[in-house]
Amino acid sequence: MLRTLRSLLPLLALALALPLVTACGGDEVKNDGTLRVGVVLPMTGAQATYGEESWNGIKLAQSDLESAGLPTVRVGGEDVPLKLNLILRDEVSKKQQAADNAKSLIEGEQVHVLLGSVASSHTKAIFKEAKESEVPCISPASTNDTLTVQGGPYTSRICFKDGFQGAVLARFSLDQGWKKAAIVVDKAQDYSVGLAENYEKTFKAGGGNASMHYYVTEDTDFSNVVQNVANDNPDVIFISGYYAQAGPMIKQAKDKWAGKPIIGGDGLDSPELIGLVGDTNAEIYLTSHFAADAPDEQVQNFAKRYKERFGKSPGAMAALGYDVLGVLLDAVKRAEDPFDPESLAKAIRETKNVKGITGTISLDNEERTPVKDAVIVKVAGGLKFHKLIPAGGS
Amino acid sequence: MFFDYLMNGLGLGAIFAFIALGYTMVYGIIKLINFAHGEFFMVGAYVGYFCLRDLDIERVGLPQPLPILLDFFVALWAASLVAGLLAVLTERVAYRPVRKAGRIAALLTAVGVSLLLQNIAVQVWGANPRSFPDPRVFHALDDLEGEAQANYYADREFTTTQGETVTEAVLLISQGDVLDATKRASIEDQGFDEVYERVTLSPKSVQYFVILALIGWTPILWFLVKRTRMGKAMRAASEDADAARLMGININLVVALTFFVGAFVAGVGGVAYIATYGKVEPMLGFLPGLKAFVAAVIGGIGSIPGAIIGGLILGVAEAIIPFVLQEVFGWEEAFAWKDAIAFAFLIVVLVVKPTGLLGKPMREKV
Repeated sequence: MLRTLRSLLPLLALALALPLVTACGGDEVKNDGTLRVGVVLPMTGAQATYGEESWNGIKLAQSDLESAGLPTVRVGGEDVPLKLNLILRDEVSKKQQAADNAKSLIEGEQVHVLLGSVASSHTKAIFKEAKESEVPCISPASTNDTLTVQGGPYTSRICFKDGFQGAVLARFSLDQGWKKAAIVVDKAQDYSVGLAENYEKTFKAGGGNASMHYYVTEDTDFSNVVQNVANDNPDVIFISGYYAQAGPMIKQAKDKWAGKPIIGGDGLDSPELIGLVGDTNAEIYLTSHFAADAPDEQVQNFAKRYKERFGKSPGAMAALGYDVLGVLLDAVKRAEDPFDPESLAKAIRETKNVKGITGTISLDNEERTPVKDAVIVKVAGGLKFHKLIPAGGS
Repeated sequence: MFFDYLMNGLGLGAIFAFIALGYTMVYGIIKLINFAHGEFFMVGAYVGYFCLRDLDIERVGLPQPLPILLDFFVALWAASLVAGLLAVLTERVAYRPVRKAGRIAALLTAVGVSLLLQNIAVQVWGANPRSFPDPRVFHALDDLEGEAQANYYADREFTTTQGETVTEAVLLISQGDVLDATKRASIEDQGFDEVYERVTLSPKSVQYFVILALIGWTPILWFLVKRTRMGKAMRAASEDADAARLMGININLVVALTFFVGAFVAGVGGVAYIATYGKVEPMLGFLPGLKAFVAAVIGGIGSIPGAIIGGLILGVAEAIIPFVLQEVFGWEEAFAWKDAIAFAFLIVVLVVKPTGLLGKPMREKV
């Protein structure tokens, strides 16, 4: 037995080494002007609507860009038309899967650039891979403050960060005359914890008084957290988390939070939220990047075309998905050599005044995070535009 | 305030008890820890979901709230029957062939079946969570007058440029809107003569319902096990399966029936679970299944009253221990740790009383 095993050892070693050889061989493939874009999104699982919407937005952007005509790129001294090859991987709403997908896209598919993901914890995992392999990566929608700082110069995003979002929510609360807030935080999500801290900081500085309550992503029974919040008798309840938990939480709080306004961040922006919450009289507001019924011609045009194609009104993730491909293509046009990661990353960092559906996007060298407008959306039988909060101000 | 937490705990505990019953009954007879039991619960939840979503019993025309009750009645029965039949099928296909192969083989088969059912559910129903379908109550537009008492919706169908037909719910009248002639005309212009309201059940009433259902089921199970011939056969088989067979008891039938009853009750738990917590997904059986197993162990695995008591104790412990840690010791994050607390509680119980609260000490046969 031992002998057979020993004789098999060289074979085993060969089997292990083989993938390495083929992976190295990939470099030799001659480029015909195809930009391989790896996309990591939660297509299934607890954040599935984020993935679905983002991917729809990206697909719509791709058809628009292609029908407008893609630019030519220089490959080996020749001008060839650019081709976009989008390779989608489902991170199944799990952080580890997001990291694995990024790794396999970088090493297996040899992508030139990565797009993704939505939940900040998951994007952090992708950014870590991008940083190690020095592949440019843009997140369409992750807002956690430390994200791009940790990610380094190859990583960027096209949405505002939670420092801004938290402050907007806090000012909004204070403006409404709500002085006492109960903040409900998902302990397991960077986004949730960071947004809650930012909210608390501005809210307290403005004379408000906030208490924290905790749950974790895996929870389905929120009855006790709901009770805790109700005991505090706050003026406003801020759910800092994602729709998959916030929806059932609001439903379970139907009696106990009756009459209390509820606010949330862009994590609540999902078409699924309405179904999860059920029929409620609760006054719910959330901050987001976009509202499909905002009084803006460009937005309405996008919303109309999106709905005609996909049958649903677009949420913020759809608009950000649309914009992220626009930003990427703008960078590809400007880059000296778009197939060189360093050159492409530099071009992305130098993004200036790209007009998108979610506003004008300019990145900076420091944090590679744009300063953008936010909207406040009211939840009433659907997500309805309530108010525009201009960039920088509140 | 304490009472509120206690009720939350009892509501959750009743669901644990519904699942724990199946664990304990099966263990009592063939000494198998049926890890797939959480998946029977999940399948029950899905069946209930589809009944509530698609049957539209509300349209039959009975006065409210009869249709809603009827809706849940049908969903509960369908969920229980399907879960029960699935359990019988699983037992026949997966467990019976390995019953003689020893307990480890059976245990591993159970883990395998559990994973298999989860993955089938992912393939068939998709991995995405679905929100609980609130019962819809339809009204003819002509019946509505004055200020709207609820939000009224209607479904609209349209075709996308990709050729897909999509149904979307449109909010036509918000609560508090006054339904005047212009509004009525504009709704009629859109082609709707009927609207519906979505009845989101109050979580408290669902909680009471679950606890009452458990109270209702307990004597039924007691009667089944203690007062029927089949119950007598079950007890005999659990005492000594070989001797029972020699006495002419059809062990296969007894085991199949035990699986059926256990999963039947879990189906009730499944519908209660999604009604309480608002969504249904393929992994939904995992954690409650595990906790119900803990509950069965706490109560003393193999004992039916033990499963009910264990479930309730675990549910209450999950609510009350963090509550005490929070209120008395000022630990703000206590509720984020409730799962860890539940399992720590199991360890404590087992250290103090290794056979569980109502379990019989087991003698090793030499």
